[in-house]
Amino acid sequence: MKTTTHRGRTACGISLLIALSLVVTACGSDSDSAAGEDELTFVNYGGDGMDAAKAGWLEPYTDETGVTFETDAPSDQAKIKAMVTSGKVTWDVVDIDAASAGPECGTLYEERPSSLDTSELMTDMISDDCMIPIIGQTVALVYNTELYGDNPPTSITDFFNRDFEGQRIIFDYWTGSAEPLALAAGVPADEVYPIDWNRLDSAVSSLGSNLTFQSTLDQAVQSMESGNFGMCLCYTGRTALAAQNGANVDVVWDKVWYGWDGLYVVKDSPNADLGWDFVQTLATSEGQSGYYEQLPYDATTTGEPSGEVPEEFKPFKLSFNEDQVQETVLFDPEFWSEMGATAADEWTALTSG
Amino acid sequence: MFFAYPLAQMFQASFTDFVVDPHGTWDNYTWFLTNSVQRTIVVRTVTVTLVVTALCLVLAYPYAYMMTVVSPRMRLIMVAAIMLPFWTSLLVRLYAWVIILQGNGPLNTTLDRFGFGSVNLLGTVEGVALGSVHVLLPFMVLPLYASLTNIDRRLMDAAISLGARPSVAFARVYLPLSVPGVLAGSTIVFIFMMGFYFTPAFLGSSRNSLISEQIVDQVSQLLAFGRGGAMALLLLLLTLALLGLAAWLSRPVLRALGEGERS
Repeated sequence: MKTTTHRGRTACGISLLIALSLVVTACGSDSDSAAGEDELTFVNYGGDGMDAAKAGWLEPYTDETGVTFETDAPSDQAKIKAMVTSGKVTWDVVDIDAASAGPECGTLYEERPSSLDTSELMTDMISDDCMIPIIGQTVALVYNTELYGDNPPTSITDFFNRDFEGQRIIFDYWTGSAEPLALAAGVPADEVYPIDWNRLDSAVSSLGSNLTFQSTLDQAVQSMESGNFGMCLCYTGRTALAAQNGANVDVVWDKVWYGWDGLYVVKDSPNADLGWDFVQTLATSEGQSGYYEQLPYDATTTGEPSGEVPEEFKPFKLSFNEDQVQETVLFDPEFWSEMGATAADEWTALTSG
Repeated sequence: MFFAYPLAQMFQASFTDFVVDPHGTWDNYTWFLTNSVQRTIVVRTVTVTLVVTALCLVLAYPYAYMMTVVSPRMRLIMVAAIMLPFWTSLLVRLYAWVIILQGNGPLNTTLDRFGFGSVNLLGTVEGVALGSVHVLLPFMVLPLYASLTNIDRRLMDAAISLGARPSVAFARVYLPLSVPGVLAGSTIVFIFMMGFYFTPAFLGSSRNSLISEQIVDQVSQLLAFGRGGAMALLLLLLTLALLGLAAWLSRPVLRALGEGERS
């Protein structure tokens, strides 16, 4: 009897430990709070991008206007939809992928005021009535210089060349991955859109398990730094970060894809007017350039950048390597918008089928 | 309230929220059930779940059994060995697994050193299973221990005194008495694993994605709340069906233990 009681207490104790553990595990997520009157909530994908945004955009804007920022990450359109639908919007300005945000212009994002001056922006990058373009991004073939030594890949099509050993990696998202895959599969730049999914499927199948789709861009950086890769269709900006951390990498610039993010004001944002003032600042060369002193991406404005680009960024920035580029595929948000849900189905079949 | 309301919302969305036009009431369900890629993913999810549950059981049973026979101090150490990793942040543990499993990580370095070559586990379904077993093992050990500790060991002694070999006494007396604990632990692990997201997302790849990752993709990347709702509800029904099947198969044992009538 005594033994049973003792065991019963032990069992109860362990049950309590489980319950406590579940409570501890459940607690720990950040909660959002709406910003105050002179405060904006700025959201992007976090990590180095947020550090660069703080140093290059948010802090200078605070110094100039006194408006302070709450920040949150990552940009999540499902969260925005939940906020707008429930009428509890706590985010003001969001840096988000323009292909997925574009179709939600007017429903999840405020339309751009007619008074907003977009004259300094590259007009072909203004892809809907709500956004301004920011952060030009290039995807190119990146390779492991240590692995290939004196016989490195020389063209993006070497990504599918089995004569080159090594694991291939690519970001697991259709926009910005399907296009470089098509270039690597030998599709001419002007025929990349509309995407030939069957051709991509054959090419991807040819690599079998030697091709890894990575769910975050950080994973690509980690792979490059660890040396566990042969080639990558990677964002060159991320590659520069890996190189800064000691990765043995170089870029083949023959054919590249070029895209950009959009800066949006969330529908029913509590500080929409203040948000548009901030967006207006980033619609100018001077206002936008601070970011690119922190990270090796390109501005989306026509004016000369006012800041100095660090030397270590130059091998990874399209603007310093354009003489090597033979073909460029420019991001087509309209195509992806028209593809809608089919894009996700095609991509899932390509990656998981 | 916290369960029923979101479930009702999800149910409603699965019939009212569509990402393609024109659409019919059942389109989200039709899409999921007729999509061959999604069927492959469901089969993969169920298979991995069953394998992980079985592996957890195989590892946890002897461990929980040992906990019932060792000294109180040793038992405390064994509980701590299970609970301390459990209290460590899941993300930290998953990153640790990423480091361990990567191509030039400690696992492959060790295998190489002993002449076994290298294994590619990161980004594979085997890597996901390995990490999942690590994460879910406490959920199997603790219910099992709670059940095993209440088994009257004098029944084993009685069987042996009546001529049964210890292994026979264990198989015919102890093992059946432990079935409720096995079912409790397996149910918890099974349910968790069917909806597991972080571990497959970290240690797997889209090449071997599970259904939970597909739901997240649909909702977060496509804003397809209706599809996500339909997938989640069908996943819930599938889980309940599989659990019902397991309960039905275990009915004879539970009835013999006198628990069948209560259930």
